[in-house]
Amino acid sequence: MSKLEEVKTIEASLDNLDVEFGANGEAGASEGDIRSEELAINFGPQHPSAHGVFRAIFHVDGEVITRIEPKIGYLHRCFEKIAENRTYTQFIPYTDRMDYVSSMLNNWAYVLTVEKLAGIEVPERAEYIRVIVGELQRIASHLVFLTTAGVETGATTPYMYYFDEREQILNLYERVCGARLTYNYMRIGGVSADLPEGWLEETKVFLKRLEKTMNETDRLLLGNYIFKKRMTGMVRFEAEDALKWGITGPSLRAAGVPYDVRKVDPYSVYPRFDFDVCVRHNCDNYDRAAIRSDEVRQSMRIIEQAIEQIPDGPVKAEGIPKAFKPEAGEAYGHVEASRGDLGFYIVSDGTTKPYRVKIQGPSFGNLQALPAMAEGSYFGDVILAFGTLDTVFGEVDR
Amino acid sequence: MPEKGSIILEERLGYTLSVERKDLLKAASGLKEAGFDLFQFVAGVDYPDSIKLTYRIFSSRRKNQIAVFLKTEVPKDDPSVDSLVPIWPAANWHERETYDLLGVNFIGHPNLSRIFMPEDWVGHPLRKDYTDDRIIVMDDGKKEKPAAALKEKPAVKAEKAEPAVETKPEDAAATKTKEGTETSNVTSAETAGIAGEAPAQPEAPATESESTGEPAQAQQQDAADTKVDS
Repeated sequence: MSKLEEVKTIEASLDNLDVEFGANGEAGASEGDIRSEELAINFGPQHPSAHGVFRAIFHVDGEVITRIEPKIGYLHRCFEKIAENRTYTQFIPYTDRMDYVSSMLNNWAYVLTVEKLAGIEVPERAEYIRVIVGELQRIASHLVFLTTAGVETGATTPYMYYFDEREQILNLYERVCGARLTYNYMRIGGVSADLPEGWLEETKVFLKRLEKTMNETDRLLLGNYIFKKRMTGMVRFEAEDALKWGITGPSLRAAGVPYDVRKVDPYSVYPRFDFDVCVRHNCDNYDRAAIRSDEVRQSMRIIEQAIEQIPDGPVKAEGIPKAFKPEAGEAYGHVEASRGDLGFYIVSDGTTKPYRVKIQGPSFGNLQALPAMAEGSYFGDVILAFGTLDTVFGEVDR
Repeated sequence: MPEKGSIILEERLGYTLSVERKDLLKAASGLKEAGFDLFQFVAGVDYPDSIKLTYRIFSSRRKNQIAVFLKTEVPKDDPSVDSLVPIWPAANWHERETYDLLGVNFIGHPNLSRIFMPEDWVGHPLRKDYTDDRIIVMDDGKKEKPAAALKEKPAVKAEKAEPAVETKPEDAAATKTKEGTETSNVTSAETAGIAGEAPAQPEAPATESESTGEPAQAQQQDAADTKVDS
């Protein structure tokens, strides 16, 4: 072959290579010839961004996520099996440890269902106390969320301000029931002990302080240009997809669906309070984060009203025997927990121990949507989206 | 809505629709068309002859925003039922959980694998007849003293038959020792694995290393060192 023919052959083969050059001069690949490899990265059970023990295998193509395979079960503590061997009251501390960031609401969901099962009526003062501590718990849980949302984007300062307020809430709880994280405060038929003297006044003072901090720190975090740029418009998850994948709670309300158990299926004394269901419409990362700040303000409203309206009286229903035996049957009760719709389905066979306790943890349903949410987004945004789902693995794995 | 089933309002539960298992998929599609779009959970309850499944589906679109419990029952000798994943994708993990813990087989599920237990676990833990070397059963508040358990010399079973449970992790020996000599007031319901060998004995569990009343620490060390592979 002559030199010219050689060159022509080489050129012809280069033409078949079919590499296109993009507008900025970078080399792209057309279909069929050059493919980039997909990388499978293990996001191990121990990871600072994992919000608990969570393992996932991310299949990435460059920075874009093509598939996520979550693997859960690292915190499975067999609560449902344990429940079959404990009396109804003995199981209450176990419910604390499910969603350990918001224990009061877990307690409440459980005792609500047992009371429904046995037809027990709770005295009014106990209901108001439950509302007050429950809403304070929601505030505390959302403060943790706002902190972690900030820390994940790199804003480490709001952590101090939000956690200072949370510290006040934990101090209030310590005065009420002696514990700071897992309270074991509610009992079947009421709460375990009355509020100490001066507690309600302290709470009122705390609410004023909280309002000031929320106004200031929200501007610092949610109003921050970098935070906004990072979160707005990212990982949108529309209402229809969210419903299809079983999301409940603030993440669903950020997509525009006003599903709040306190309004849809009211329990306790919630019908007496005047509050709004927080709904946002842009279903993106920012809305899922900011809606929890809105919810904190609504919770403050509820607590103020409850403190005004709370009556005197007993805090526990009379006549509940120590060997508490509800009649055989089944019941379902649910509350609006800080992460979604927390429900208990209890089947009783007439003995002191339940026959079956099924726990519907909202984070379990929310986490299921992560692969669908994340497909096609950038890695960094997906980590933030996972943060805004606000999963607590105690609830996922039970 | 299938003509056969009708929705009744059960007292402590809510609106319930009970169907036979062959009608489940039809009933579910009917509910989906009627506007029930948020799938919440599947609860399986283990009875001696059957497993009862309860689904809860919420409707965000209907004006009254109610939820319906869909109930069905599967016999124990053939615990399989149609999967509802084609209708509600949110049923995916919930059905996996029911399969993992109760052994219900969902036909048509895209990825029916264990979700909480390790992949190689044998048995379905939430069933009433599930036995395991590590289950501790509390006796209705009355706790047996461990002293009686410790004094008796435990029978040394050379191969602590890991029969069907070959897949138990190797530190089962260390765990058993720990349970036997811990000064807690809990009896350990000693069963011999799923193969159902020797009946429950109330004394300290047998270990490969001869365990007597030694202090717990040293014994743990021994057990860890002198494990016999069975």
